[in-house]
Amino acid sequence: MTGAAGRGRRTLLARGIALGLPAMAAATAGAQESSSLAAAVFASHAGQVVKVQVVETGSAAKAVIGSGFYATARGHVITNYHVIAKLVAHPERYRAEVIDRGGRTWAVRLLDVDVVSDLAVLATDARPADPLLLSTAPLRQGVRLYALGHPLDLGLSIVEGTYNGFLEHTLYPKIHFTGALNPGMSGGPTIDRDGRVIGINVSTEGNEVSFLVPAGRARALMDRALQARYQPPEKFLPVISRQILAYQQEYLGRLFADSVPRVALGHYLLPTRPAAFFKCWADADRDEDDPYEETRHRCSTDDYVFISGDQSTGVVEVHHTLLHSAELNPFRFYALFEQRFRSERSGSYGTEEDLTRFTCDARNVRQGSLVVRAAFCVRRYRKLDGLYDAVLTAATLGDAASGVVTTLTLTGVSYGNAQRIATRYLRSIAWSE
Amino acid sequence: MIVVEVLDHRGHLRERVRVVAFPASIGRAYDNDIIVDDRLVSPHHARLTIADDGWVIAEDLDSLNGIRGQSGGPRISRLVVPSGGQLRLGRGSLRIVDAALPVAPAVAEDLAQGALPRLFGSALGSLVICAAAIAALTWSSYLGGYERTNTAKVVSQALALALVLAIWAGGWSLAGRLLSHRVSFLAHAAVASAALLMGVALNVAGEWLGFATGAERVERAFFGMVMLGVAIAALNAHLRLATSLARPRRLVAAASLVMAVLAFVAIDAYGDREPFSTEMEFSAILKPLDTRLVRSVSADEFSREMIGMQSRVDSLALKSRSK
Repeated sequence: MTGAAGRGRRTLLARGIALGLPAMAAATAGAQESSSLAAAVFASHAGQVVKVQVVETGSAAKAVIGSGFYATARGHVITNYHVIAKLVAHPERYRAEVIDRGGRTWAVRLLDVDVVSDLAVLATDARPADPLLLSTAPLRQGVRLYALGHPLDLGLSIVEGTYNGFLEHTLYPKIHFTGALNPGMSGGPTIDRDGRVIGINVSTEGNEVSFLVPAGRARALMDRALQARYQPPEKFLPVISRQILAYQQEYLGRLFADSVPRVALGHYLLPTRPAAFFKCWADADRDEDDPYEETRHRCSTDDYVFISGDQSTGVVEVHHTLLHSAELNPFRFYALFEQRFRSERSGSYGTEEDLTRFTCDARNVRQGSLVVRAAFCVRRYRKLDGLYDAVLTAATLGDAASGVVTTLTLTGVSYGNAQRIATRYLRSIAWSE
Repeated sequence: MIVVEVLDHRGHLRERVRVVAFPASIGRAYDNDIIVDDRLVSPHHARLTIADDGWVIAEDLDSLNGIRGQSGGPRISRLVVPSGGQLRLGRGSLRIVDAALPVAPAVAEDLAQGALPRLFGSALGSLVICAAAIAALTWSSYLGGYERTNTAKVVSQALALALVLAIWAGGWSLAGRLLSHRVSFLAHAAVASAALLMGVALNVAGEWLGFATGAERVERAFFGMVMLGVAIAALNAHLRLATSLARPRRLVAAASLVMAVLAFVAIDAYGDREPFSTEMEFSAILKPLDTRLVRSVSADEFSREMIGMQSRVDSLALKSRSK
């Protein structure tokens, strides 16, 4: 729901969008300053890195460029799912091709995807002599790594950087790579000095904070796609639905199930950080000019799943706003409270092509000694069967000088999970003296 | 003995003439028994005679435009007019009434005026209503806000409201001055104020009842209908003060005007409608009401309702996909 762009993290797509000179300078400077070792790494392995292009069939124009690498001698190429996402959504409008170091262009066939890890395997007729090996051996933090790819379609580049271990608080492992990844490098390999692939370039937060999909995920995908009886599906959208459904079932199954950790805001006890892969922030506003105080608490998962340029999913978010005023009379306090509750109605980004409108049900609900005004809103994914976005938002009633607006947002979940988790969430709201 | 009532082209009574002797002459000239001041009426237009059996007979005296029956039609040289019947001449008509016709007893002065005209009729009453409306609007707007405010801001808002009210009443007064030579500024202001008061009261009642019962839409629809009635009544009152339209036509005019505005708003909204939106449309009214007075469901019931929603959500996906 929260779009990739909205979260500040960018996938490394290049669509003729220049990111400005500083980013390019950083990338090329990195290459120039590289030691002779980097030069050696580049010389021996650059031949295995390819440019992946998604071409609009009507105009024969490039729609997306990214990077990839040969992972088998039979010409299998690994890249990011997001590089070839257009091909999945509109196979009739796009085709893909890879261009190798020697300038040869190979037609590709999409073999399999792992949308959750953002990976795809492509089959080509190329027969590379020396494909890259995937490595899952543990590394020490600080080890030098080399990212390869086609930043901004400027030609194959090498970026030297540092291995900084796996990210904390993520559901699925991701490698923190300190080095400037830029659009166009998506899907390219990040290798160690011996040419073993440690991770696949996937996204950046800017300022050399970059992320890699661990090679183990690519290994698992390859193992599946290279089985003798594996047949690539006719349509990939149902595959993607199934993968996201399995993913959400895994991480949501037990969410808010047993003892929910709760945070006290005023006299209210509210669910917080339901699992280790959530990050939480709190903030309090006490503006002298305002006749009220506002305390906010927010927890969100950090992982999101890229579906298309218009749609990301897989984010769970919880936020609470406690309002309190000793100054406003009950009517004026409720005018404020209602305004904050009302503002929860502006849903999150989405397009008609991908989603239905929200359907809502709102009730005054008894929960323990509290009565809350609760609204449950759901919308369905149009292309991905069985997936929904759901929002439960509630305002506590009965106190003339304080109240909480609390909202749970689930994206890309099954209806059953949406209903179950929203109910568990609602039940974990309580009043304490 | 009969009485002849002279009616103008709108059917309004202009004059009553008691006819004591027959034949009685009708025309524009001053020597007639019944003088009709109408350029279409000849100086000596017609005369009334009485037959042996008591019928009143109208005879055309070769006038330019002639006389016609009650419902118009071709000109007639000789016409029998029953008691209570009419004949047309010129732009208006004459009604023949038997002098023996009984009339209703008198009504007391205040009843004839009705409660509303009494209130709106007096300057003090009008001012009280205006002040009440301005106070109610200012108060409800104060209670609907939450920013720090001060007396000067509240007073300036009240004055702005008074100004808008004065402009509205002024517009109607001007129309009244042009159409029926009546100004009635304060009465117009009072009518508008009364409608505003009703509007504020209905809005508050609708929100609170909607919140307490949880059925905001039903409440909104009901109070919306009542509000429509109030608007029509107010417009009717304005028209009554400003024009000399008869009651049925006034009501039709008021209702049509309100409906026209509604239709305009509806068409405008239809033009601006968005087939797709990411907005979650649910009733978000919150009131500081004791929770025991609020209709509520248990969390279990709400959870069951969530399950029931799935078919609605899914049908939405199917419906627009087939489009």
